[in-house]
Amino acid sequence: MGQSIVLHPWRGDSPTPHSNDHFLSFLKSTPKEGLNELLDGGLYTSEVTEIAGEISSGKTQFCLSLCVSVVMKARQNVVFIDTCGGFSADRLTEIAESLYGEENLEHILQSVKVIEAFDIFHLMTALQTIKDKMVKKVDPFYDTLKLLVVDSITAVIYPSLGGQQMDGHGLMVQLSLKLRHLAADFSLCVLATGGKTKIGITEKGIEDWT
Amino acid sequence: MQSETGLQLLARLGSRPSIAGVLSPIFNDGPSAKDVIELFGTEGTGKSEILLNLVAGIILPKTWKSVNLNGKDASVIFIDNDYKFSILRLVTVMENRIHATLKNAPQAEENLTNDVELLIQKCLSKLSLIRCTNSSELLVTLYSLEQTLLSNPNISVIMIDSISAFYWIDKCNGGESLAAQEKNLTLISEVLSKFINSFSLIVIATKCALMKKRMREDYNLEKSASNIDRLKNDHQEFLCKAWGQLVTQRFHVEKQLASNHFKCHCIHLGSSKNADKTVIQFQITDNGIQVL
Repeated sequence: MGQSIVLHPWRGDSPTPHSNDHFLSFLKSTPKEGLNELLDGGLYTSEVTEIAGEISSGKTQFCLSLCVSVVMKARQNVVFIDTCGGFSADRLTEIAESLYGEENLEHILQSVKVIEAFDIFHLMTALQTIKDKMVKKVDPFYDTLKLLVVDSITAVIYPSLGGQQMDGHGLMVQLSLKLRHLAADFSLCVLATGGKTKIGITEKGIEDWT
Repeated sequence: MQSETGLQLLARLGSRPSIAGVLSPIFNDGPSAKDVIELFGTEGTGKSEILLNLVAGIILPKTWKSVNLNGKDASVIFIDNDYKFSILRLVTVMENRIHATLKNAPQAEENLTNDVELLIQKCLSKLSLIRCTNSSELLVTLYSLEQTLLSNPNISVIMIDSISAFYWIDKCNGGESLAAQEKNLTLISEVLSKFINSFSLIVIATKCALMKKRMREDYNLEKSASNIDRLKNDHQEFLCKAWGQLVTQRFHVEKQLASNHFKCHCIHLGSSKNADKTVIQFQITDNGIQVL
């Protein structure tokens, strides 16, 4: 537990990071050390961390810069699960080049794997595939996998919630349990981005954060 | 015809170490044998933290190097369904507790850091941690625990964090029939009941407030409704009936956002001891739970 990851700050409104259990205060501008301090040393492995923020508050940008940081500082691989089409390889290239120059670009891009999953069932299948590959140890990429980003998790959960059926709740709980098990069993750091503020999605259901 | 060894007979009939008095302001005279305690509250109200502090209090020895540590020297089986158990936190709480006691004890020796580490390692061997990913796994795990309980007469408590972890998944897998949805949890309650009766165990479980009673429309007008009644009304049994009948004590835990304090109130079920109206306030610090 407790792998320190140095984060590169992004200009503009920072997203509100928080962990599954407690709500941390919102910081408007984050210097590098500030964000690390806010997160008590960085993002923890064996835990699922959620980043919530309004639309266009910089969550995907935060995830992209985090990917670059993990690859270069911690020398580990990253799997980025894109559920809303927000991942841009060009943008990742831009960030990587500006921080670490062109010579490291190929290494960074090779260390980030992108999986597309546009509904909850595909997402669960993708998580199962990742788990299989980590257990079987056939693919060397997964031996040094440390960070799993799901951007965004609310995009796959929202369509199944609502109405009188309880299926949505069951799927949501199952998904969050799967993420937790993956994080704990393989010492991964799982990062999930969420949609709106004021509503928290946890495995227990939707709750108000006021 | 079933035969058992002398040790098994002793484990079955003999008494298990008592944990009365652990975390005493909250539990009063402590959990007694055959108690089933439920910690009920919404997320972030300190239920798992209470369990952690209980574990620390139970696995520490009674005395160590002529210092009175106030532990119960018993073994614990901890079933972690939420994948939330933090061994680092447990060790921190135990270390801080030991150091605080050593500071106050006049006859303590100097330079005990290595010894404290060894002590903690020895204590951790009394804790068994099990993780389950669904209710069928929990059920099968409990069945297999019978052998462990038979062979280890030092185990006094089974802790489950949390018993409501698989509620939604069971509900969806069970389809339309309520009986099918509650089947696993009913069987789990039966197994626990059998263990409690044959081994005189204590079961402590946390339950997350997934469902709350709908507030009556005129609730706000009732100024006289006391805190206790409000806490009592919050609870509605959404797990199966078998579990509801198994519980003997329910602790309602709440967090007060303004002051960062936690409130805890105990309700005895199925007995006339409902006269206990005290609400205990506590804080969670690096040293663990501190009662105010």
